[in-house]
Amino acid sequence: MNTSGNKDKQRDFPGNIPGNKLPEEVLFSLPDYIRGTLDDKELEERIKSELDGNPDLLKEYMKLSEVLSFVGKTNLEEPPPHYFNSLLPIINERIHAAHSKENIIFRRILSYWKYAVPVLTVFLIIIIYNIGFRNSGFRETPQFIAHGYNDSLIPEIFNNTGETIINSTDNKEMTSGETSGTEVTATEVTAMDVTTTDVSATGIKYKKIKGSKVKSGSMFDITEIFSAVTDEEFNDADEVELMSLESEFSSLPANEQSDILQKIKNL
Amino acid sequence: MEEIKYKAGKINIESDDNDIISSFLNGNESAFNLIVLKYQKKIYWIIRKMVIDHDDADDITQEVFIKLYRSLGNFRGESALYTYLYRMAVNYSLNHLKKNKLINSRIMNFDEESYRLKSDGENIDEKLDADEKTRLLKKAISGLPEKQMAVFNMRFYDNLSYDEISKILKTSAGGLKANYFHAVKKIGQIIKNKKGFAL
Repeated sequence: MNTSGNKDKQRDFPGNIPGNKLPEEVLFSLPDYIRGTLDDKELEERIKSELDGNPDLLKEYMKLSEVLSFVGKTNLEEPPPHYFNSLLPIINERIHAAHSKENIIFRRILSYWKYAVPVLTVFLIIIIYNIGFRNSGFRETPQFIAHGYNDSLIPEIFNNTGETIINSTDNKEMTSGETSGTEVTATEVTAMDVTTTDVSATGIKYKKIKGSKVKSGSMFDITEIFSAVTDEEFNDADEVELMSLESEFSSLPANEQSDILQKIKNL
Repeated sequence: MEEIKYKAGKINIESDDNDIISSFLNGNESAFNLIVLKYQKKIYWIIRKMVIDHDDADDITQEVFIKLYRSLGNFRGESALYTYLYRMAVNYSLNHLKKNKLINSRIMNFDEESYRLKSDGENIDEKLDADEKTRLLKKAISGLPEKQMAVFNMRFYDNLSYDEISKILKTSAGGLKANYFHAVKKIGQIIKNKKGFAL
């Protein structure tokens, strides 16, 4: 069988005699030839004739024969008596041990699961709510605060550092501890919530605008916060913005106005 | 007793491998026992010839069959069950040897010294007892590169054809003959370095 791939390839003879080359096929087939496992009769004949005429190949043949003979004569000890009778029970035991271990782990996971499910559900609701809250676009309406409220307060509120916060209406410095457990004004609640619970800043904004009162320490009164902002207020804000746009538009030259109108029509 | 042990439902140890596997997949757990009983000796000796040590071979044989138990569900029958097992045995043995190469080399360095002290200038076959020969062979075989080791074992001990070896190792047949030749040469060199063996 030709497995070396290239019969004509020449290789330095292992005897390291310069210039003495031998086809790889012959060289690599020597171990099989020695053991009588060569199934290519043609190759076998070729090796036989090469051995007759090439003393270096004969030397290589002798070396390999000695190695193969040594390995062949080195018999490994038989396994202990009854080894093969006891192997199957051991394997079965290990399989079942692994099974029961897996079952224990599974049961443990199940037992944790009954606590994990409600906790995860709550977290999921909060996450979904927050995502929905963000996507609703409420965060993208800074003009609510910009109109008539102290803008400088916004970065303070969003800071969420837990440090002192300036009250927007009277610039009184306060900490979370000051308002704990009492009914406070919306601005105070804003400051307290931010410093103590890191509740969404978006919610805080609406508290400020509405100026309504909420109980301090109530963590997730998001619905209350939502309800605190009425449609009327949204419409008011839109109206203010519209008015400013109108005045900006009217101050433009007539040709620019007509360009803009044309573009709007094209849309 | 023997009869009961070797039967699992309608199948027995002489049944076709595919029938045994189908039976196992249909819920007959005892069918797995038939596979173990059928192949345990062959697999043990494949591994033993690679790792030489009985305890290591025992561990690896168990691992191979446990792995088979877990993977029988995914066995697609693309190759014969024995080829599948053989491949696993070779891979597990090679991994084991790889893991233990450092430890083995330390042990062997110690052994090397004791060999030198005992046998300077004497003929290896005359002087070495069976244990020493085994240790020397272990050193020689474990010193081979992985592929050469696998090819040597399959060709020398199991008389597998190069085509069969290529299927097991998932390589092309070309070059396997060269691997075998180089493995024999290298074993000779390792033995020579150890013993002053006239190679």
